[in-house]
Amino acid sequence: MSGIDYREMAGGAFVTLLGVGFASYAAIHYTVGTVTRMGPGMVPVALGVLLAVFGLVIIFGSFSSLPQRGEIRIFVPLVILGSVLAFALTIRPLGLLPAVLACTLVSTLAERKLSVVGRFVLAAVLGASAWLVFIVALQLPIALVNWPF
Amino acid sequence: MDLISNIALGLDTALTPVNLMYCFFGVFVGTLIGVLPGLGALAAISMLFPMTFHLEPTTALIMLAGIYYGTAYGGSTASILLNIPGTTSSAVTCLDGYPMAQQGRAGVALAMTAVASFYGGIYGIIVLSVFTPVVASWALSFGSAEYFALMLLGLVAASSVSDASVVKGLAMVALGILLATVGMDPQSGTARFTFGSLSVLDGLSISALAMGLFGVAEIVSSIGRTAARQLDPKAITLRKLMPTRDDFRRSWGPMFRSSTLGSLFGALPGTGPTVAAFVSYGVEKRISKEPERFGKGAIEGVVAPESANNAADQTAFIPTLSLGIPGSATMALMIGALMVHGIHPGPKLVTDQPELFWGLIMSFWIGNLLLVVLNLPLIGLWVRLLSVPYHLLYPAILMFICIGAYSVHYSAFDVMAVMGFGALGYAMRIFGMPAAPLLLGFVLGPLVEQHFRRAMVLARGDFSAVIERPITGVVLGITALVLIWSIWAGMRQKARMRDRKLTAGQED
Repeated sequence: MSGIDYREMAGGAFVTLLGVGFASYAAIHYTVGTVTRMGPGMVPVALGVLLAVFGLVIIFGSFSSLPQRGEIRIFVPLVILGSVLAFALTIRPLGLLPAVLACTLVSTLAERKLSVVGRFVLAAVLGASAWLVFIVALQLPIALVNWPF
Repeated sequence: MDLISNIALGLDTALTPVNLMYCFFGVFVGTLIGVLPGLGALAAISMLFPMTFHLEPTTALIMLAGIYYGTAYGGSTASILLNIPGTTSSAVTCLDGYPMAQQGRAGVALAMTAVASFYGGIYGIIVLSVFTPVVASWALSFGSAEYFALMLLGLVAASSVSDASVVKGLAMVALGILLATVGMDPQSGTARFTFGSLSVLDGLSISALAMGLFGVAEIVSSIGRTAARQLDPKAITLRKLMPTRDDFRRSWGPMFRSSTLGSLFGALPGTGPTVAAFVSYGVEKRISKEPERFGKGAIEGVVAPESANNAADQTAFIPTLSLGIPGSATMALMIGALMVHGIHPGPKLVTDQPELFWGLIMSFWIGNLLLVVLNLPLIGLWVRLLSVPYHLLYPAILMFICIGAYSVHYSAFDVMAVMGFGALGYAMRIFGMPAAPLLLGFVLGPLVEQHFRRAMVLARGDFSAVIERPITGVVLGITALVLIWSIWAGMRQKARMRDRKLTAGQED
């Protein structure tokens, strides 16, 4: 009844690659040293190898496990991560208000329950509350609006 | 008489207007987050974590702790009214709380929950204030080898008790420690895994990691799945909150037993409020004279898990404050908050920073009192909050995450890091890999590495000399037992699931 669980296998491969990556990068660039005089590379190399071994065990287990259910989303994570990116890219050059507006307008694309007007209203409300909380109340040194031109 | 002067000192600290205000703020936000389904204590603490950088360490800890035990109070509200646990530790409360609500006794269930939570909290605080100094004085003689062994035990226990497989938990611990090595190596001054970037020379930011792994990844998985339900706030009025004498009579025993169990599980590494709640429910059902009432709205089934998880919330601070070893990811964040201020929790914390330790403990008393006040009369407000739709909520949460991450160093790089960890967190969810062990590994990583290196130097590279130290040997032995037991339990569970699937297949 049990078959190969490809998602589990991919997870194991992901972990293995991370481990090999950390270990080999550390082994090439940092001194490993000896057990009594450990260099900065010792712990990363050892843990990287350990991580790769764990990954191989997960891959090995995937040959005899029950396939999991649960959808993999592509669109929603991209939109949400995109909204964080939008904030990161706009906060320095443009200031707090444009960054909050950009972040909210992008993130509301993920769940289409709001109309276009609704999205702008929500963005405006959040922008105003960000100004009240972070600039008026907490007095963080962030510019509300920057003019780069 | 020492205790009395310590309590006085603690009250002095906890009752300053600033600390009182942040204590109130913490429990208020905690209740709020606990009530909202799909947002746990970890997400809440990581979101407000950057704020604590601007506060005194004691105030910061009082606020974070308030959020932590506040969510346990709030989580039960969603469990009882909607049959949706607001937090994992209140999942058991659904079993009898929701049937009580269906029978029109929601008010009684909520009131008894507040009473049981308060009782469990107080019980936990007393255990905490008695045992922390004892453990701390005992731990003063510990060397690097003992610390290394204890941290290893903590990490192994935390990764094997989670519901995912042991090997996945351990892999995430290793990944967490590896992520913690990014930045300047304190012993040799070498910049590790920085790829020439100055932004990560101080290491990756713990708040970015926590907000990405628990905040952003949580939002991605919750969108479109968390439906708000309409509830009539008038259905629960103060008059309907009054429990009968019979309710009280049935509750004293379970509350006492469950608080004891909860205190024990809270202090042990790896277990915590969730395990405490499940076990205490099971125990009460087993020793009850009428076990058939459980699951159909028995008051014992509500007060047992609620007093257990609140007691466990408090005693989780014992290893955190006395040894500096967190038993859970939430406690790891508490330690992270202290480390940002240059305080390394350990056995000397109680004697060196008495106003921090006793102030925190006294703030627990005040916070628990505030929670009873917040929860009973304001219940209508929390009920209304439950009906805020998620599509309005998540953009606001994202905004707080972004601004929070940015405000730590005013660097856009930290916001990018949140995005990166969010992507990692979602990938880990797809692959069924637990995030809590990663955070624990990340916080303990530098300490584990430092103590390991030092212990090996002192033992002249001879590992058997490390094991032969009595405490170290015993702790490492327990670690091995935990590991073997959890591997065995995991294999048995897998086999059982396969059997069930086989028989189900034959019936088709």
